[in-house]
Amino acid sequence: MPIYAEARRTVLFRSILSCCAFIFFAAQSDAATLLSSIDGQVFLRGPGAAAFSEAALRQVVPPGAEVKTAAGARAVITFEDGSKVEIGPKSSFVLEAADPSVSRMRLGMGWMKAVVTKMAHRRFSVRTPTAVCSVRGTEFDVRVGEDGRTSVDLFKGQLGVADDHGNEAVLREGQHVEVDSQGLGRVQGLGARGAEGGAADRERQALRREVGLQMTKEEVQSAAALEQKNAVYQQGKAMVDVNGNRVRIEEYILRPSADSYKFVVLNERSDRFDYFFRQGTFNKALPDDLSTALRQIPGCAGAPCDYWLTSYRTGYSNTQDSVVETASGGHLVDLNNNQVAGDEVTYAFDASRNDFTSISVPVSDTPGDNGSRNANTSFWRALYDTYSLAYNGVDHNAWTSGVGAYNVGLAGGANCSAAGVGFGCGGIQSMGHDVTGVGDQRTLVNTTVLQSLDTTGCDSLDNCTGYREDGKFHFIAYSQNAGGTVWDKYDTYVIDDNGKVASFSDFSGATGGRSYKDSLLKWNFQQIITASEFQGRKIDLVFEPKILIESGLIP
Amino acid sequence: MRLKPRFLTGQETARRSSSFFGALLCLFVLSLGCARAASAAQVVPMYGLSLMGGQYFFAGDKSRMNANVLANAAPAVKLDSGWTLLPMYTLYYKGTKSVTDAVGAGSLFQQQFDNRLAFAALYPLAGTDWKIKPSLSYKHELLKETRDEAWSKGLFDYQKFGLGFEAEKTYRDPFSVRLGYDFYYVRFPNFVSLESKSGVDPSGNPLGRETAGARVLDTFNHQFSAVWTCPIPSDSPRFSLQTSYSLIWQTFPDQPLVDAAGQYKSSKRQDFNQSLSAVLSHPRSFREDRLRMTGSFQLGLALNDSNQNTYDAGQTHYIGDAYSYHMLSAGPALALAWGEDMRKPQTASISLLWTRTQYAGRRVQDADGLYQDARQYQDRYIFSAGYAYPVAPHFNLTARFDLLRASSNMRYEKTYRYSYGAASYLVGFSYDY
Repeated sequence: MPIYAEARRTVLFRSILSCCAFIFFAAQSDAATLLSSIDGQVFLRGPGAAAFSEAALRQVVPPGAEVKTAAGARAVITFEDGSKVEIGPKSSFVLEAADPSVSRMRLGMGWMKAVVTKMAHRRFSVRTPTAVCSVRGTEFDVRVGEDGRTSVDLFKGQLGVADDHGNEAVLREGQHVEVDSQGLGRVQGLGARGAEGGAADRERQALRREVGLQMTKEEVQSAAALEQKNAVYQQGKAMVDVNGNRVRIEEYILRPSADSYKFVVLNERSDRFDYFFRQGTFNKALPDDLSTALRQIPGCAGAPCDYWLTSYRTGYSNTQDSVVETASGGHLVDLNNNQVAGDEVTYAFDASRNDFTSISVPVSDTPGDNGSRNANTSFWRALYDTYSLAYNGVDHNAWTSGVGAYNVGLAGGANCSAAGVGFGCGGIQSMGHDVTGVGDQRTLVNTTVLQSLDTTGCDSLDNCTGYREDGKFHFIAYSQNAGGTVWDKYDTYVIDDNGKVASFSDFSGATGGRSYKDSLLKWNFQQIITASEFQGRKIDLVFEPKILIESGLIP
Repeated sequence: MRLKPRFLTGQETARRSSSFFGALLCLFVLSLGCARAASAAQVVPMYGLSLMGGQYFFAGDKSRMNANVLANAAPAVKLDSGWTLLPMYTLYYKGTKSVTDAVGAGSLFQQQFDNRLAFAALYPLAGTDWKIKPSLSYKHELLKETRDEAWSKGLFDYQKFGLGFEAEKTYRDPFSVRLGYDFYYVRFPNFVSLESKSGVDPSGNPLGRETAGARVLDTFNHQFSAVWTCPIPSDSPRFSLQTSYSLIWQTFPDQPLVDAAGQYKSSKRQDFNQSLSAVLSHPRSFREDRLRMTGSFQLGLALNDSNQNTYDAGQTHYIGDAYSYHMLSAGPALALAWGEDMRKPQTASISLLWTRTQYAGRRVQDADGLYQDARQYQDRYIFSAGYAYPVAPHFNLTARFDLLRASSNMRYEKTYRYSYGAASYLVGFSYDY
């Protein structure tokens, strides 16, 4: 969400509200004593007139005229010298005299505020039922209640206030007095009310406005900075891991050569840096749209893939320790018709649909003659002749291929090209890593294989394979050699962007199959790898499961 | 592994920023000294303090109770020469998130600590209605969003250095025209792209692209602004209209453009953000000025034109024009002040703001992340209500409530929420002098 455009909206609105308080005093002055501003119903009765009539804007107010305002109405009278009188709602006002030497008026009821221009030889006075206010240049506020009680606030200058009993008080700036039928009350300070009128307070208000404008500007500029942060979040580049720690993530693709790509995931936390990469070399030059080739990596149903990997390298590292998986000699095989038992694919991820699809395999392959293909729907996938999975350079799982063409002297050879493409071709992975190499068409040399420890549950065990917490997607895969001296462990969490571990209920109870994988796409993987070679250190990575699914790392 | 620590460390950054901060402070002290030396210099102190506590609610979860503190001081110094110097210091601690804060990571936890020092000067040009206002500012925002982030180590901490110039003509008090130019540099000291320091893989091959930038979030910004307020109708004002226009030219010196293959070009990102807005207000007074009410309605249009694209590596999908958008906004507001003694009125306000952001190039994704044809949009409705009760001169008990509802046609929410509800409330007091 673009924040700073929104911030501008908000602060703009805020600043205008403060401006509106002054709107009634904004009317321009004019050469005669006239109504310079009218808001609501305002009535005027001229001298000698019997009845009131609705006043018009800029109507001249002659001496002797009476002005009345209805509820909610206001009027501003501007005098020749620029002095102004604002008459509040439900007020009764009479202009008794207005000439160069005296301006005299009477407020019978209601409220008025006067801003009087200072003149040396002119008296300006306001009479109320109980008081007379006389000034030479000032700004004050008079309020008359229904009982005749008069309330006077002085914001600027000096003001003489007299009652009907001959008493008089001189108000100074920021003072207030009340007058009733008993006479003058005690002169008091205006307190906060001064903020509404006096020159000093107006100045303070003006300065406050400047402070407000600065703050407004600051808010807009800061919002631009926040927008950068928002973009990082939207691209999934910052999240919280299972331990509540901030993890930054960057994912991108390099193109090292015309026929290869390198997918990189970088993780940074406050105290560590981990990364994952998968570099693949294809059978031919890659198109501009890499997805065309990448979506064929997990395999192709029906027709043979156009693109397949001839080799790949996958790495996990914390910059000190590493897990590197390499494979080479990739060749395309129709797994569903190669007459190698147990390698049929009946369900596969279709990247073009971002979904999983079923594949019809009515006939099971059996070892034997590859002279003719089965009637199964083909599923083509690259298989590799050599493979290695090494921890800090130490193989935990590896095969080394034999020597020779794929089809030389082997059954079904006519259906396997010299490049290793055809339904008759075999391959190590087609046997599900069976160390015996049965059904494989090439010489197999096994170097190391760790056996996985499988237990019924890992609730109280760290070195086991299974779910660690009841009802949660926290899975441990643990492998070791016979003596337990060489081992590796994958501690895998399925988490949301706030580090919360997914429950089985989030996956509607599915822990495998299509439903599981569908749900998995909406979550993240956090994988913590430890091994006998790491000397207590770990590789701790957060990444998207889709990468692993597309790469075939999640079958 | 090759790490390239070619950027300032956090400590270096802190040192440099404190140098700038120190310089600004010296300037401030110096000016105060000058002001004092001037015989008729007058200081008009202005202070404010707001202390509130509350909670933030997001998508059904709630944060712990936390506090927000805002304190500011602005001792204006009026000099004989006609200049008014206005140093401003603001301290802001925010422990309760706002509903408009980013919702990435879905985190309820956030602590923000800002320090801002600004220095403005006001000078009325003799014989005219114009006033000029040069300014200088520095802000340092610290942000903790996760448990492992320490103060000054936050990923999104930033510093902002700004200078500006504004001219204002008050053609009829309080209505004016303001024209301004601001330059500011935003720097995220702790945010360096991971790719720029990724080094090599165990075989010695590079993990990063050759032209990857490091300080990809840092920006240079040029802002031109114009604000005009006017009475309507002119001779007997009943409404006030404020219209404003702003253009921000934003350059990203270290963020190279992304091409269709997801690789970097040599040219860099730049954005042009324009906004036009108008607020029409109508103040009224009732009960012999014992009730004041201002109703208003605002309209806004913002356009952001960016040359940057993105590449979604997970989906191997290129997104052209990824940051360009237009945004429409509209909403009413009502502010009330009432009381027998209007020196200490009670105040209340409510407002509703709708915004729609429509992206030019971003396509929506389904729940699994697959890109669709439609372009992304988001609607946001923000309802706000505030109340203040005076307990003494300048001193108010205050309460505030904000509610946000966001909805979007974007369905992929694995890394960011586009459709959600959030709310926050705050209660406390404020003091303003």
